[in-house]
Amino acid sequence: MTSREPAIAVAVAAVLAAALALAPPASRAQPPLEPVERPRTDSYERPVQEQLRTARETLDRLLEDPYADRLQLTAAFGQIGQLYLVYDFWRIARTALANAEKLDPADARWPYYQAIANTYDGNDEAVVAALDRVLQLVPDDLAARTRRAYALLDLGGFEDAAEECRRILELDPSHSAAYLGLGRIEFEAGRFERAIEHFTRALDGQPEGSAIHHRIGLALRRLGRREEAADHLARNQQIPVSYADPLYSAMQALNVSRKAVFARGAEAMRTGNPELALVAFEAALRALPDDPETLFNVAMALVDLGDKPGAEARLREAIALDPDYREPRFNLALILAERNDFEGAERHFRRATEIDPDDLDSRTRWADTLTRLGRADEAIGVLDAVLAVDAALPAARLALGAAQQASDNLEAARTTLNGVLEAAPGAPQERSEAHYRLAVLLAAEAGASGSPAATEAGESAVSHLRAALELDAGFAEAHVLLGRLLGQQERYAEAAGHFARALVQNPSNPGWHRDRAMALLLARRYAAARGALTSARRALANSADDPVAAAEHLDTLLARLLAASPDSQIRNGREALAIAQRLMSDRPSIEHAETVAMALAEIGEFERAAELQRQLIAEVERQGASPTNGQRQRLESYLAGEPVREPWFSP
Amino acid sequence: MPVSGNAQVPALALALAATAITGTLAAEEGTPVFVDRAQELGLRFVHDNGMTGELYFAENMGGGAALFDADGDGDLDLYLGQGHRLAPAGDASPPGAPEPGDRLYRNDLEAGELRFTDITEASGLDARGYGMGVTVGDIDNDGDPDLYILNLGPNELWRNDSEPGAIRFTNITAGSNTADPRWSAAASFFDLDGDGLLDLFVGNYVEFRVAIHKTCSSPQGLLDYCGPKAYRDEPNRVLRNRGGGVFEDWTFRLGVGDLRRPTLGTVATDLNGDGTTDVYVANDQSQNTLLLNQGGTALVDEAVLAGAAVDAEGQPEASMGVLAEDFNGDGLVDLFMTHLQHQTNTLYVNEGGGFWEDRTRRSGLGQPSFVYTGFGAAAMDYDLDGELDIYVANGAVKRIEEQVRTDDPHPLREPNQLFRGLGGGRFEEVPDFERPAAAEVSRGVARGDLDNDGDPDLVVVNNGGPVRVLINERAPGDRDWLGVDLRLAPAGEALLGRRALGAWLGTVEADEARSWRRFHTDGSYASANDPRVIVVSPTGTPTTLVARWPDGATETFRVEVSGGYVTLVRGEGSTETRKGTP
Repeated sequence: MTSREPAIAVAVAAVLAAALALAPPASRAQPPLEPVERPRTDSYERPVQEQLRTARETLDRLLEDPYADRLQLTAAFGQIGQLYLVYDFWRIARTALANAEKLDPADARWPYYQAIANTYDGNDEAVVAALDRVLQLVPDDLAARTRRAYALLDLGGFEDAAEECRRILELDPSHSAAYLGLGRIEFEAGRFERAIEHFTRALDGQPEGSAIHHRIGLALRRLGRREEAADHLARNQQIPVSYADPLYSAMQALNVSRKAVFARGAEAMRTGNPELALVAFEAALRALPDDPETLFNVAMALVDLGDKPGAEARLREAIALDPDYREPRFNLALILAERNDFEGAERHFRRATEIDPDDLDSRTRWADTLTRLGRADEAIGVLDAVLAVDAALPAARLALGAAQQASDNLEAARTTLNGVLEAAPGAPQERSEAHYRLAVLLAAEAGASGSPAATEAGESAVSHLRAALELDAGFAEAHVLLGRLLGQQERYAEAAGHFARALVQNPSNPGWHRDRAMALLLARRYAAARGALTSARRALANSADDPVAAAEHLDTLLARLLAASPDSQIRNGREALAIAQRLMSDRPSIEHAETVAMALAEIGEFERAAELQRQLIAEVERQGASPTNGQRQRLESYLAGEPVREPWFSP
Repeated sequence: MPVSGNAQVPALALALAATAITGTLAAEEGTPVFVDRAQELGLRFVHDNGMTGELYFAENMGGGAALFDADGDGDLDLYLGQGHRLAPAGDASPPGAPEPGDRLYRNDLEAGELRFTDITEASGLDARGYGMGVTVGDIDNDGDPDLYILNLGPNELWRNDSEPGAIRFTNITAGSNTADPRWSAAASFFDLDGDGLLDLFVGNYVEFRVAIHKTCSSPQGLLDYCGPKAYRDEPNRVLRNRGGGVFEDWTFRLGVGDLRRPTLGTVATDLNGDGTTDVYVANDQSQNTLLLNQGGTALVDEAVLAGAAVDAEGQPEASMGVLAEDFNGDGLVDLFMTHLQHQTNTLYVNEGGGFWEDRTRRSGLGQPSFVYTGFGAAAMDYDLDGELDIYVANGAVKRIEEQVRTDDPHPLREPNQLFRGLGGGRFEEVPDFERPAAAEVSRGVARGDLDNDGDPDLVVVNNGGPVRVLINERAPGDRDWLGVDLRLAPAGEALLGRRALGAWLGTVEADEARSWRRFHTDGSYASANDPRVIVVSPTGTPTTLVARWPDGATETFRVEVSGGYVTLVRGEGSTETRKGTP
């Protein structure tokens, strides 16, 4: 025996084993099977590797077992075939699935999956042939018939395709995919009215399948009905018609790769279902707990669900795992800026720009946070560099205008902002913001003096704000500023309307509620004012403002409204007195004393009201000030037994 | 002279053409039509995608080629974009491995014998960005073509300062406002506002940079290249030529500043027949864009309503290369796009009235392309039968398992395809059309008659592989040819005038203009074509040609088709009108 003999013996044994694997004993009586290639899986994700290895080991074990159960062997070929198919090795998959079909020709799954493999090859003839075998076994399988109809359609076999679609509709009269197929056939034949009927029925059955609008639009266009066509074409949101395909779905569900899980999540995000997306991404996170991208995706789903604190936590985890991952930093900075944590936002935007110095968006936003932190000069430096790279970026120019404004270089700010308006008609958001910022500049001028120039500046500010709102009707800050400017012009009702529209965008802003209430009071719309004050009081719970001072102010307004409103439907002296006395008890003041006096007068306690009013006037004088005319007039009213029915507050 | 008095003929070009014809190799029936002669012609260029195993997205997307007559000697010179190693900032290339840079080759065609000489250094063209594509246009109306190089990073504008016998380029990027820093993959020169200066539409792709590289995986969980959805889309840019080599960014002014889609292909031509040049933009996995020019004051995207945004199913596709030609011979501009595997390439047929319809299924172009990923494309009449044919350069973007298993370091190889036009917008795939038959990772393809023998040749850029120069070796037929250069009025006595990019040339048959061909450099993928149009006709037949200039005016030229190139200059023909304008 030479030294080579053992090797030869091993090789012979291996060949024999392989031959045995594919040539089982007669007792199993299995048909000749094709060898199934092994894709290299060593660089795949661990869960995928393990899944494939387990399935392959099962198959190998059964192949080596001459007494293996035939059904088990079929299932093993079928399983590995599905896995290869789902992981895109459709040619290898086809062999495995063909073996499964040979072993169990009565199981329709195996030719069905072969049909799918043939689809990936673009071989429609083979698709039809495989599906014919499926339908011999399960004649009423709708998914198989749908696939067959579409393959026939692509082959130009319109009559056979139409027959198949009609057969589907006999089984399921609302099958949208079948109607779509019939519509396509009619369209090809130039029978556009008929095509539209079918497409419409497809859409009736599946209104979310907006891509059908595209088909309808094309057919309408062929009929010369252009306006209707345009309407339908514009309604295509690119969501295709779907049909139940249980075997395909079952196969897809086998895919455990991160990409597949992400795809499920991304699809859920795209179709506006962040809950489902979160489920998918969290599933991925369980498989890959230290994957920064998965954490980032979870965070984005949480943002869409409105859970900013949750998103923030996930973003921080992603950053901890990969400090050079830009996206979580950028999005964390956005969240921080939104809650006015500009220092935190600045830190993360800055780091994002260090990671990717070419990211102009991050640099622009970083500059914006610098401005908000009072570091406008630094911001200007950053923005100058950004604009040197891309001079046309409206967001950067806008941010530069804001920085110049903050650094009191008002003339430069005005020039920059006007430049945005001139150069960027295609950027409505930035133009709207530029109008707003110009209005802020002009409003400051208007407030500086009562000169004609100031009046003109005020008018100009109003014009800019109206332009800003024309471009972006939901621009809350512009509504608020416009409301305040209109208030200065004593156009209170109009002002109140703008505060209301701002509150649509941010219902929890107590200041805007207060502004609206004041505008309504001054417009003498007392019932609405009471409602606004109540809303403002509720909104305080979520406010970052000093809640005590704000609540005191709102309660004072409410108490005075209840005590002295000219509208008898609103007045409620008892309630006014209760509020006023509480205010007085919490923090005694001349203002609160006067409110108590008003409430006392309203409930007919004129003597007590007059006495209190006298005392507060004395206190004003004791403090070295002069009582106001209003204070004296109100004393006279109480002495005459009359409650207050005139303006009782300063705007 | 094959011209009847109203066309200007560069004598040198004709002389070269005449000699080239004799040098044509006759192919026998059934043998490949295109033969790769890159090596023997002195083109040993190998595209360097800079692969390091990191699978950076940009690696598998370049590169491109430009075929253009840099020195005005009547033959086509060749620019080839080059990549280089991609690395994070601060991670410089290892010592001794200088970045190779883009290359420029001079065509030394003589007596029918083709030869290319690398003149990069002598020309001054020192372009070392990570090349993604190129476009060609005469930005200063001096009659010679200038280069706009598209990079992963700032683009570059190179002015052609060539003199007879000496090709020279000068980098005028600084101060020109053309150094768009984004990943640009396509661009078209066109006269946006009819001021006589070529403006620039720059198609930008996605916000990939090494610093923000992501790890992506295949459906198998195999480490793989990312797709465009992994990154933010970048906005396109419209740069208006102010003259003097300076452009200004009019993107926002024209109302398209917020249009962010991942662009890989652009064509500029008058798509709605209003006498202004429009732009069609092919986007990757996003609906395509049809920007109709509103007299130079705005560009309005009408793709959805025109039926040219999405396929017949109402779905966006992964569009890469794009062609705008009259493929079915009805005088209207059709659109062809190459796509990702399992999508088919798509033919949008122009129905008139500003409407297109996806007629891929009936065209014969769909099914054969289903299994491949198409990039560059060339429209040409390779067999001079009067029908437009289509060449498609293929190459996957996701690693192909079978090739991974054989340890192929660049497992994205696919064969390219040739589709012969049958007329009426129908095509059939031509088997075994090239030698050697190869499966490579093809990207850009530029079309042009390299040997001036009247049939189109091709330059195919292979990502991470050698360039292919496919010489058309068709057998002579019973039809003769005439190559036509279209020029606008000369800018000066010594100058020929700018090429009329965006013009159309039709052949009058039975008193009707047919066989319209677009005069362009843009389209395809990442590449610039020879704009010259080849007209075919029975030998020795006087023929009437109609030029439709970019502003919509038409002009008729009487020529004799007898093999050779002519230059037709605006204003030197007659203005009689013909039916059948595009």
